[in-house]
Amino acid sequence: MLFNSYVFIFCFLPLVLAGYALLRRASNVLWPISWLVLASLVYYAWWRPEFLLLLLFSITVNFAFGTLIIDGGLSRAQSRAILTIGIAFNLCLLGYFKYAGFFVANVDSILGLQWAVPSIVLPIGISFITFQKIAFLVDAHRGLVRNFTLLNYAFFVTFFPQLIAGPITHHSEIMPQIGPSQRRDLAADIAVGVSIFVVGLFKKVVIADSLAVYADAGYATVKAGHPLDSASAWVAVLSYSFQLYYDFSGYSDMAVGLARMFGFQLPVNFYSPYKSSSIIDFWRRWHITLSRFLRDYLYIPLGGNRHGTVRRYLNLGIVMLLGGLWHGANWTFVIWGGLHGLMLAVNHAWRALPLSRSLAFKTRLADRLAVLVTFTAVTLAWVLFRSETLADAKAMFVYLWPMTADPMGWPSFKGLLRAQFTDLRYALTLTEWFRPRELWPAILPPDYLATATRPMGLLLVGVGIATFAMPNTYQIFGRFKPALGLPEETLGSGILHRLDWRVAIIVSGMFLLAVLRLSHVSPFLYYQF
Amino acid sequence: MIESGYLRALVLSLAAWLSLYLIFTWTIDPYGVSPIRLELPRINALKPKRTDIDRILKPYEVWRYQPRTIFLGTSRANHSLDPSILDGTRFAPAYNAAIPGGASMKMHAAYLEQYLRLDHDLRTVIVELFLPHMVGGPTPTWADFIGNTVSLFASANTLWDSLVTLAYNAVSGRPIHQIERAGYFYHPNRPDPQTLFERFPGYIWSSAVHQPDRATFDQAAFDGALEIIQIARANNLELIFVIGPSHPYPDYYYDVIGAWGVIGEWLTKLSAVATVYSFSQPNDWVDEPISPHMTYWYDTFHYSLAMGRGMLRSLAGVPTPGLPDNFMERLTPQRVASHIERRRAAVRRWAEANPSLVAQFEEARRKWLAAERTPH
Repeated sequence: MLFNSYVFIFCFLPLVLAGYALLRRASNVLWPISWLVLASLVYYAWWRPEFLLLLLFSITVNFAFGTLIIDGGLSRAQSRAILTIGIAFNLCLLGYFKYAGFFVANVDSILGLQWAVPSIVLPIGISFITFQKIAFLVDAHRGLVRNFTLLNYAFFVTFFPQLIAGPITHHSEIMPQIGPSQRRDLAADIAVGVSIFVVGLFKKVVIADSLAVYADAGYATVKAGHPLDSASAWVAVLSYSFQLYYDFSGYSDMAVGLARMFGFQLPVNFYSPYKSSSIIDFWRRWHITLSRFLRDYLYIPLGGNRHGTVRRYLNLGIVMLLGGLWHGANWTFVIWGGLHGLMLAVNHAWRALPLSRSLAFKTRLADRLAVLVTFTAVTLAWVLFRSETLADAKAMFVYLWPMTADPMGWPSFKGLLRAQFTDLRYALTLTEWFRPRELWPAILPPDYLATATRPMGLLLVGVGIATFAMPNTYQIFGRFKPALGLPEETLGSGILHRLDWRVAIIVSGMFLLAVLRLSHVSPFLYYQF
Repeated sequence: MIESGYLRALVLSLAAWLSLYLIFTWTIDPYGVSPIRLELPRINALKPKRTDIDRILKPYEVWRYQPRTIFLGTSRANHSLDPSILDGTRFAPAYNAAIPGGASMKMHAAYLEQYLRLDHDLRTVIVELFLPHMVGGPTPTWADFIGNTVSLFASANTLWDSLVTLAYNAVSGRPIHQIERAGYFYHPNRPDPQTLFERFPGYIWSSAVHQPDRATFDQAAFDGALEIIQIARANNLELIFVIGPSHPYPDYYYDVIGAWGVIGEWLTKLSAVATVYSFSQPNDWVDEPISPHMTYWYDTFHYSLAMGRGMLRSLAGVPTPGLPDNFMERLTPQRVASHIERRRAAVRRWAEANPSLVAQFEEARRKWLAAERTPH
């Protein structure tokens, strides 16, 4: 069940919210929390019920490890041993479901053993759930866990707003909220939560999904072995960059909004990452809870920056390679992670130079340029993230390179400018806009994305302006304390001072557009036959 | 600060937005499905977005209009068979439910089952046979029907297409291609047919066509036809299979790839168990010489509304002046061999009369075969 589905929005969420509101009146906090756990299990089982057993098994085993570590009266060494076994258990589960096929395929291709590559269905959210449980065990070993019961633990792991795609929370962030959440003003929490959820839904469904058509068409064209001209390749790559941004931003907003409806605050996970002026800054704003996990549970245990510069860069490289692999079992993700590790190392090396601290690099212009360079680097790295194979990524990089007088190179940008920005006759009747809605990539001409998909140029400019110039959700709703870990200035200076009828008109309009966008009239493209 | 009436304001403003949406989209009605059914010149009379949505639109309209006769078929039937020709005959009211874009026999069978549940007045089904497409394809489900119908009324596309429809009517106002009310496709500004005939080799010998050099009897496709027959019998429907006109140029293509055996096998087997009428035998209409202005052909495969009018009137038994004597022919297993022989003879005559087109075709074929033999 996705947040952006009719069944979630019109059935599941209202039912769960109504049940929660009723049970919340009970004096015992066990009832509403049990209700949320039950709802979360239903939510998880919706896709493939058999994986619910896996989730329950994993929760039970981890609870047992946690009990041993917290209440077992173990020595430090014994606790560390249980921790190691617990981490190994979680990594084995993840390894089997996510990486067994990848591992077998690679060993087979190297050694030529003719092994059958197993086809294993990946349980939804397993990557996030695994990290969350590992973080819990480490925190337990460090003595940071309080209020530990089976119900609380099950709630911490399964709470549906963060179950399948994060944010990766700490036990210590959620547990202290259980009691107070029952005493909060539910109507106020629903008002704030619904508003943030709608903003997220709009980002995901209206912006990200609209861009996905063009990104998918470009990458599928390359996958099918057909060429793209340089301008079209940039349209595809930029579309994907913004699609991913609004997809993840939208999801994070929806998770935060949903949790808030039940009186909980989740940690901030996404904070205008494309406004970053460096790669270091980018990873402090993009998937913040994953960066935090990798820093606290991998980078620092590896030695962090405590063993000299070379070791620090090596640690960074290892962390980012594994971070890349965590995103998917494919060499494209590994190299994407490695590339980010390399960029982080270069960024740290640059910061260590005295030159980087000169006034020339502190100007507004320098900052703007740094944002542009960072965005370009991140966007180019997404090519690896999005491509299905390294060969596809390489082909896309070749098409992106415009330094040729060939019509596929620089001249293609003239075509793009003419089609998208100067020849505006098409704008009069609107009939040529967003045609076709669903592209059939295998037969696209090389310049199709740059010239025929109008007004793609205007759309990208608009999305770019929204991304770089507009405040983010937390800067808008800051005064309502939407998430944990927000900067003080964000909390104190939120743009919205009050939620009133004017906000209601805007939010409800966004909601209607988003819900309408869930349904498509998909024209069938036919070519004579 | 959160105003006490904020949640109420959210609900009320949502209701207001929804009302505005419904008033706007039902008035402009970009797909011609609105319950209000207003037709306002310069506002919504032309429907530029009522096109390419046959799979979504037609099941809904069959349910809504409850026709007595439906046509199933591909883009040929879709472009050329205007159901209003049958008004006043035993087939009326009729609806053209043909689905362009590779509709297969299996698909037709599945659609027919769905239409039987949607349309309780259904008595006759006219199924177009188009031999290159007797292969598999997606079949409709009830979830598709519900999802598609919802999308026609409540989707962001409906809102956008309402704006497009309004803008087009207000700014341009020129007639535009669209699916007509009775389900057939009308194109007021068709391109010159000669150019399209000349493009035929480049199209057929390209990656757009799957295995253009193959013609083998597909048992699964034939089973689809048998399924249609069974459904019709089980539901007491009159079933008519129709072989649409085939110009000598595509017949030349069938000749080149050795398709006559398959065509013969299909027609023999099918005419043994069902009513099959052919309109593809050579005559003045079918063999019309290629020129920039053709009366009976839009392009290589698509015959015109004029041809379709003749077909429907023939089927309904309405006399039509000027119709070739052999325009409609009931096929039986015994007549199939002579039917094919006449078409092959027409192909030979056509090839002798059109050497440049033949050379162009053979060159495109040679290039395609050379590329196929090159290892990828």
